[in-house]
Amino acid sequence: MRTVFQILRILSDGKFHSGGSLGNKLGVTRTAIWKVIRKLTDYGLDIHAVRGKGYRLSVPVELLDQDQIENKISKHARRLIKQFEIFGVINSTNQYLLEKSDTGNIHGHVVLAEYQTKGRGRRGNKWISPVGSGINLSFGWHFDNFPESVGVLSLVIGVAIIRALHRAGINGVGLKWPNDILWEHCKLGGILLEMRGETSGPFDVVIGIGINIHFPGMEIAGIDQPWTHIAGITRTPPSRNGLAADLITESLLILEQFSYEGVAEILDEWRRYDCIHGRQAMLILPGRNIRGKVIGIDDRGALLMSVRGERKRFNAGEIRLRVTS
Amino acid sequence: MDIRKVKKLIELLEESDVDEIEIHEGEESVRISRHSSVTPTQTIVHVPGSNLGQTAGGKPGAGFVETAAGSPEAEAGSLIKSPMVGIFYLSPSPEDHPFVEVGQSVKKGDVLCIIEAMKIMNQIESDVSGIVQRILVENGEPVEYGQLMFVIRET
Repeated sequence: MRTVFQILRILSDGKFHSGGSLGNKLGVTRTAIWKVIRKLTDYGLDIHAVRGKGYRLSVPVELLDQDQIENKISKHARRLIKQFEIFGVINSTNQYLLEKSDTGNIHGHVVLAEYQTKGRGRRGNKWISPVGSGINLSFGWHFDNFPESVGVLSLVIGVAIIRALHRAGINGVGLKWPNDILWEHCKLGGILLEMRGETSGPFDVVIGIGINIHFPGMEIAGIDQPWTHIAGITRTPPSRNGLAADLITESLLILEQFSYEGVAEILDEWRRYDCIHGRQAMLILPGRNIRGKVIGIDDRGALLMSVRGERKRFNAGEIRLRVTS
Repeated sequence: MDIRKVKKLIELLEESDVDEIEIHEGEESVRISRHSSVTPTQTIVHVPGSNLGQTAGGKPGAGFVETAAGSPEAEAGSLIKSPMVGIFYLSPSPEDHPFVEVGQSVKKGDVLCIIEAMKIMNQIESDVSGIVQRILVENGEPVEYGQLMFVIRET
């Protein structure tokens, strides 16, 4: 695995590197290099192989750099971090922390990965992000008791992501209940909250954030819904390390704000970025679908829909927008 | 028998002049008496086919013994109940195989199901090792707090 990232680091400049020169640098055979290139392709990268020139990434990547990220995290947020780890390849950053939560304290434990072999979204949907091309961020947070308002947690994190994007100079991104980050109805990112065990007394929740930054092409195997990436919405995409730092900063700070000030102001902020408000939609629940008009969220983060003229609230489900011409 | 039911019975006894009550439910019985001079009440829960006796005060929601809710036959095994109100999922995703099936053996700490509550996916783990005897909730159904989800025969 070390060789894979050594080679990726060399290729990250987006220039051609011959198999021979890569082999010489790392002291391995050209066949070994070829195997690594295949591995990188499996991890979602688009690599041009040109006879006589060598290998080149179709899109340069910026690999994660712990020092750069730590330096950019705000001083106040840095105090809330108890442990910070960056992985090359991991099954899932959420899974890693969930397993840790069985035996240890995961509060303030921040994890990033270049690539997840089993990245996941809500309800076990696959989360696909080519190596080095997005943000796979998870962190653990402890609550002394199960707050009734915990249902707003995914909305709170959504607001943190919007704040981080603003900090990085990206505006116009919207939120879709309960945990999607959208740009003009295309998915830019998502949130996955997971935990283990009981919901009485103290508990640890694992907060997962995925953001598409710069994908190698618009054809990514396995993604089955309209998506976009930051590179597609701005001509001057922010640095990946910088955005990771902003996401960590804003998430930790908003959790503190949530604990001390409550949620009312955060929810007002959420409502400003609600991009499905007023839309005709279908709420997909296990075994039944409900059609209606989205009328917003209540003060506990539940979805409000007008269903046949009646105002209803929902705590679960997935929203599908109806295309109206 | 639900530990909360036992607690209710104890409270009932304490509020009354009665010295002892004994309740039979199927093959299970519970006797609560205030004879002991040290503790005001003493509880004995008896479950046939199991030498597990349990006194009141156990942790609700996890692996204690009782009769399957709504089922006439008593069952000896660990009962896994829902610790929350939410939606029950038996598989990690709609396309995946279920976490567990009847007859399958599980280890303590294995994930049995996911309950989605308040937009948080909660992985519910088995607190015993054994064989899954029954699964009492359908995939995608809502579950209530304390609702019986699995019966696991300890091995």
